[in-house]
Amino acid sequence: MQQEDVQQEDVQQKSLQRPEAMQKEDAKRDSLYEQAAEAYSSALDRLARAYELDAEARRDLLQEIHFHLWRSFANFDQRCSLRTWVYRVAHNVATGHVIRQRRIRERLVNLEDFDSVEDPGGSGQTELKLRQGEALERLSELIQRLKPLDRQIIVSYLEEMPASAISEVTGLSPANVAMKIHRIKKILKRWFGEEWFGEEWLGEGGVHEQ
Amino acid sequence: MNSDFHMSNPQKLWQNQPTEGFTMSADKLRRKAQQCDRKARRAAFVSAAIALFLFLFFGWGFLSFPRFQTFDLGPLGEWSTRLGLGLLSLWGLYSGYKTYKVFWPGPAAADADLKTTLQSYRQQLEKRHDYSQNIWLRSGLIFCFLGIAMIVVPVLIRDLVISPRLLTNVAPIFVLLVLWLAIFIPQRKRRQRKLQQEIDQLRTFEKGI
Repeated sequence: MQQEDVQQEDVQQKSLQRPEAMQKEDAKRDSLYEQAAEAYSSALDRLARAYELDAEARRDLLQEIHFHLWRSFANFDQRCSLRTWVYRVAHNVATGHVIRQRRIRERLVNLEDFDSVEDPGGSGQTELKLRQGEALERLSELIQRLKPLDRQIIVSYLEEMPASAISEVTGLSPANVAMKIHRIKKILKRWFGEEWFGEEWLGEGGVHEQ
Repeated sequence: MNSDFHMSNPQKLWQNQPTEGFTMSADKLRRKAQQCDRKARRAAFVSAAIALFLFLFFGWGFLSFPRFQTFDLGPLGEWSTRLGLGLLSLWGLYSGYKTYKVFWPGPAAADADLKTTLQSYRQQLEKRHDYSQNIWLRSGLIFCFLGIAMIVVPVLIRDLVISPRLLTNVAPIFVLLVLWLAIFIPQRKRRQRKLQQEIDQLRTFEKGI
């Protein structure tokens, strides 16, 4: 604790020694980070869950995401929205985390190849009384089997981001995003059973357009 | 929480999961940044020191080889050993420079965070592909092994001439090495091919096809 206080004083002293222009830059970066953390901290928690199941490794990943986000705000010039920036940085850091784990990465599949993956409940099985924890576990399991790009799309879709925003974050064309979301819905239907989700969701209302 | 839970929408299910609302204070982030820079600088200095040591050690060997030689290798063997030491000395310097470049904290590219996730993912895969394809050349390992071979082979030949039975003792090691290479090389090629396919697929997506 004492060591932490000394380190904190050291950091504060070093930042006071910096030229005024740099101090202003620091303040701008801190303020942008605070804004982003306030608005998206829960979403970033969920995003980390989509990339890492192990609680301890997830916390490390989350720290890494926040750190990169804070550093990245030195370059934020408002050419895109804060949300797009936050999601881009977070997904890029998390994707790097997946790519580094070669053994896991090599087992991942595309949405297009997902038919070969066996659903956990058995084909066509409907489970109306699935507990929330189990359902969430199953959803996480599904996400964890996807390659990073498709993972980015499913997470953005689950966060109810409009297709245009998903397109802006990922760089995929809106038509490709729509096609992938359609496939995601079909897979979710297969994994959870048709009756499990409400009818309104199974209709066309699942994709939000701006 | 309802045990017989029924959710009408996977998006609600996802968004309603418990979260910690993790954030970090600016001071903590600044401290982490300083730690990262310090760690990177330390790693760069250590790699430079190791490289300098290797350069001087093998360089000294190259310059003073015949003086510490206690057995006869013949003129060809002597030259091979000497050149091997010289090669290892240069490799030490080169690998140190490469490691230093990797570890030294440089300024981040201004547009690095502007990249879409698709571009970033493709570039990360390309980097990995490029790294594993050219690791032997980039890290100079080819020169390192060549240098070692130039030192070891003359000694091995000399020992085999003196005692041919030694061949039966070292043969299993070579058989195992060949077996490992026979498994490792095709596996590596298959991995590289899969990676390239994925990169090509991402490029197609980037073109909006």
